[in-house]
Formats: sequence, structure tokens, C-alpha cells
Amino acid sequence: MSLVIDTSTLLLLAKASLLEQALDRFPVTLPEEVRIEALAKPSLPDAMLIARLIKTGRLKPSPAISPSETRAIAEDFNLGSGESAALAVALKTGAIVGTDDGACIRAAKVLGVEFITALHVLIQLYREGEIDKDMADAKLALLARFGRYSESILADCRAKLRRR
Amino acid sequence: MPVVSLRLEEKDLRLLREFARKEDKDRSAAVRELLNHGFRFKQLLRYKKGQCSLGRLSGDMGSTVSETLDFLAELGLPAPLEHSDYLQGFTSLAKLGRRR
Repeated sequence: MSLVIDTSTLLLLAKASLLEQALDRFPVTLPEEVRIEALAKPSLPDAMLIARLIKTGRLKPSPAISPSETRAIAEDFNLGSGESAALAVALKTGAIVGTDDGACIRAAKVLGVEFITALHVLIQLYREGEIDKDMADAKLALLARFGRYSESILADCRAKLRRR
Repeated sequence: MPVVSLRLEEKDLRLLREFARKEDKDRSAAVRELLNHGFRFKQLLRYKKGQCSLGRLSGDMGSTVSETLDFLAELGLPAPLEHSDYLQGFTSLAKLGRRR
């Protein structure tokens, strides 16, 4: 199964400097609406990184979705265009959604779409030896800062980063 | 800018005068600033309760998603993400393929 990423997870991975490793490991695509949201201010460092990864073909576009499909999801669940497009792509292609947004996850559960977060990406990269313990801890600190996860989630994540 | 008149409680008017004086602003500028902050605060509360998404919040606040993430990190506002959702993600993680 492939991973269609929304803007929250895309930016969190970029801010934690994990995006390139994630792209090496997972078959990731991004909807056009997510690309627009992520590159809305091209001078921001994470936008520059994402623009480079798109330009070099490492970050591939998702299949196109009709505006009516995304609009219905956005209205039903009070989501932005990137989140609703990621869900629409997942519904159409059977992909898993990468999202760190609570409202988007709630919508995914209602629609029967599977999901992961940036934390799952970090844990998998660590489990497979792509990053060592010290680096994983440093990345977790960055994800915690920008992702603002609950202490119970972070405690579980730390425990998983203690064993491989 | 359109001009509006509205009724205020005496105590609110006193607070407004005090705020304007401290911020060295006229009352109109002070009201505009407070209204703006009030709208943002209401939007943040909706997001905190999970009533709208990060993308929707960004649009409502007139910021990019990246700027909103930075702003939320600065505020330290917890993400409305349930522990059970995080645990459920591991089932999906196991099904994810590898890049060829």
C-alpha cells in the first residue's frame, strides 16, 4: 500500500528533517492541494525543501481528484483543502493517509481510511536501522515541539525507541 | 473603513480605554486589534476541541499551514490527537509498502 500525505505530516517531517529519509523508505505521493498549501509561501525553509523534492521527482503527485470530491469531504468534516484531498485520494486508490491532524483522523475513521502520523514514520525508520537511537531521540524532540502530541503518546513513542 | 456604533457596558468601555492608553492607540485601533485577537482565540478554541482541522484553521487565520504549525508550537497548544488513534496507526504502518 502507498502513502498519500497531507500538509500537516509533510511539514512536520520537513521541520524535523526526516522528509528525505521518509521518501527513501515509503512510496509517498502528494495531492495537488497539499502541494499548493505547502508551497504557499515559497521563501519558508520547509517550502524550499519540498519544492526541491518535487522538482527532482522524489515527491510524486497523487492521482488527480475532482474538486467536487474534495469539497464534499471538506464540508462534511470541516477540513482544509489539503486534508480533504488526501482523504479523497485514499478513498479512490486505497492508499494510507499520512496525517497528524485530529479532525482529519476523525474523518478518516468515519470514511474507513487507514492512517499513520509522522511519529510512525520515525519509529519505522528507527526499527529498520535507518537512524540510530540518538538521532531518533533528537527527531522525536523536534516532532514533539511542532506536533504537540500528548505526554502519553510521547511516552509510548520513547518506549518504542528504546527497543528495536 | 466603514463606521459603526455599538453599545458597550461601562466596565468594558473602561477596559477598552485602559487598553488603548497602555498600547498608545486610539480607541478604534484598539477595538480592531481586540476584535482580531478575539476571532483568532475563538478559532484556536475550535481547533483545540477538534471542531476544525489545521488546514481550516490556517485558512481562517490567513496564515500558511507552516506558519500556523509554528504559531501553535510557540503557544504550546496540544494537538487534538487521541492516544488510541496513535496506537491504531501501527496497524496501518504494518501494511505500508516499501519504495521501489
